[in-house]
Amino acid sequence: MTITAAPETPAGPPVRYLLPAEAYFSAQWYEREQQLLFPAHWALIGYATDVQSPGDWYVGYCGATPVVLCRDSEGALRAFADPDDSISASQPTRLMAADCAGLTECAVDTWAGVIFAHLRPETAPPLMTWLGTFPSEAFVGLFPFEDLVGIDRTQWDLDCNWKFYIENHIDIYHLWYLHEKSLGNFDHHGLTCRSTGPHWSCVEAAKDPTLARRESLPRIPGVTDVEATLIRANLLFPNVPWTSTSGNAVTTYQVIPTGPETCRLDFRLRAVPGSVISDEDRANGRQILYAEDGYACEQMQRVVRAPQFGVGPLAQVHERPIMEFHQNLLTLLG
Amino acid sequence: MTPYPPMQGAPIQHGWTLAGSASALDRPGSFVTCESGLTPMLVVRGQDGALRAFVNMCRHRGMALLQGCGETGKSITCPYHAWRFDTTGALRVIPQRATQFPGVDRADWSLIPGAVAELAGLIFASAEPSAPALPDLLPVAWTESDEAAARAEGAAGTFELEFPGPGERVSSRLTVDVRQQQLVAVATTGSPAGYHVSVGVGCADEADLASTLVRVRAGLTVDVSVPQHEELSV
Repeated sequence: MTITAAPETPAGPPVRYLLPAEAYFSAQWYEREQQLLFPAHWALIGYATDVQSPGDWYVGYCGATPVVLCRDSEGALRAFADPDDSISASQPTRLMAADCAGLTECAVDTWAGVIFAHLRPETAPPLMTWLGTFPSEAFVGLFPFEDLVGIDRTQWDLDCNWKFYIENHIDIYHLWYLHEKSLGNFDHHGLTCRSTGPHWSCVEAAKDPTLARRESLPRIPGVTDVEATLIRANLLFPNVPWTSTSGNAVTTYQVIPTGPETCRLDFRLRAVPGSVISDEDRANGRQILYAEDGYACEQMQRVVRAPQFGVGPLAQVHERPIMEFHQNLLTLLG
Repeated sequence: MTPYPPMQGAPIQHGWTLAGSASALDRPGSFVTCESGLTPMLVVRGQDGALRAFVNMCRHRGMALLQGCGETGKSITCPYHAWRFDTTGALRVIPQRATQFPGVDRADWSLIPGAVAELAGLIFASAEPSAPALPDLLPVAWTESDEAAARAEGAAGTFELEFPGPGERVSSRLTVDVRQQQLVAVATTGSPAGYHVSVGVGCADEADLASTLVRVRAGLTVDVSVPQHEELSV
């Protein structure tokens, strides 16, 4: 489905906020999500570059559950749920699948140099089926993803439920106001949204293409001139924003639930090998994702326990993705 | 030196909580924030000079509108989506209303009112708009006197106040748990005879504030150091 951000006549039933306040602070909701939501989906748990050689290991997350990723002696990827975080605690120099005896093995697959795991192999659909048309030009653009390497990683702890951050990510309406300066060079009225299954995407162009580039990073080879003027913001349901900016960087920032009212952003930026992000560009990213978006989410968390908490009418088009996100959650959580 | 007894007593009921000092709200547009139970509150002096308390929540997405204390001018604008309220709580602006919010009546989405009271130079607020009058809830009469006036600019958290005893320059300590701000008012009656202490700790913006002024009935006025944010055991 494709939606243009500024139709002349908004149509359809009113856009509503569907989740109750408890969904953002109760331990019961949190546990239900860990039991019913996250195990029902493939989760981005790392990159091929995290485990390049036999014995390499890495810990990613499916919801709040640690998943240990390793590469066995034949070069095959293996993944194991490690709810007690025992592997991280022991910090082995090398890790093989045989060292994970006692842990529950997950399904594991890759796309675009990204490694996904599924906590329930017996019910996991093929990864590409689950991704739908997400791996396409319309969603993520035409990038040589497998040629990119991680050049920057930052983790931010936030005092908010993980869903507030995801809702912020798919909220078009806030771009004009919360990011009035930091994203002021992008044409939000020309923004286009799409969805495939539970996944979501939007793309918009720079008003002034000369200001769109992240100057400290080189253009990724093969990326078109048009792509170099775009910013893309996607969501791999339920908790992995995937963005690209100006044809020179692709980022994921998994929003890891760390408690009913806390989460951690694991921001990973991929670009051309050997490139180095400048302090200024890193600061700009921090400003948008943490100082602005993180602030807004924490300010909602401050209020959500109040008996008076309530959400009013939502923007008919610009906040519709939030209602659809809620619908996708409620399909599993009831 | 006789140590002060630990503060005891029931919290003030019906959500009344110390919001700040009257001096922090002496101009139109000045505001303070506080918590009434689980409800974040804001108190603002309107352009008409009236004090009003509201739930500190934008009616659109539920975001807290204001932090700490300061000046908000003639309106309160939500930083998230720029919904704008005036200082009477009325919703004045919904950006892109014609295309994004067809049929939405601004009058339905005013700020949620609370109750506000001024007592002994301190401002109290409650999330209950029809809360019983504050003086009726205090364990003993709280008489407003010159000596009882206090200017409060403290920080959220737990810290110790030092102030001299009557007629002697001896420091005594009184621990104030600002997270339980109701206790601050009770402390007024829990102090030894002769000490009627008003302590205002209404501003949660630790970074901007460094001292608290305490005035006791004996007429002694002292500046009280407040630990920096990092030192507070919140």
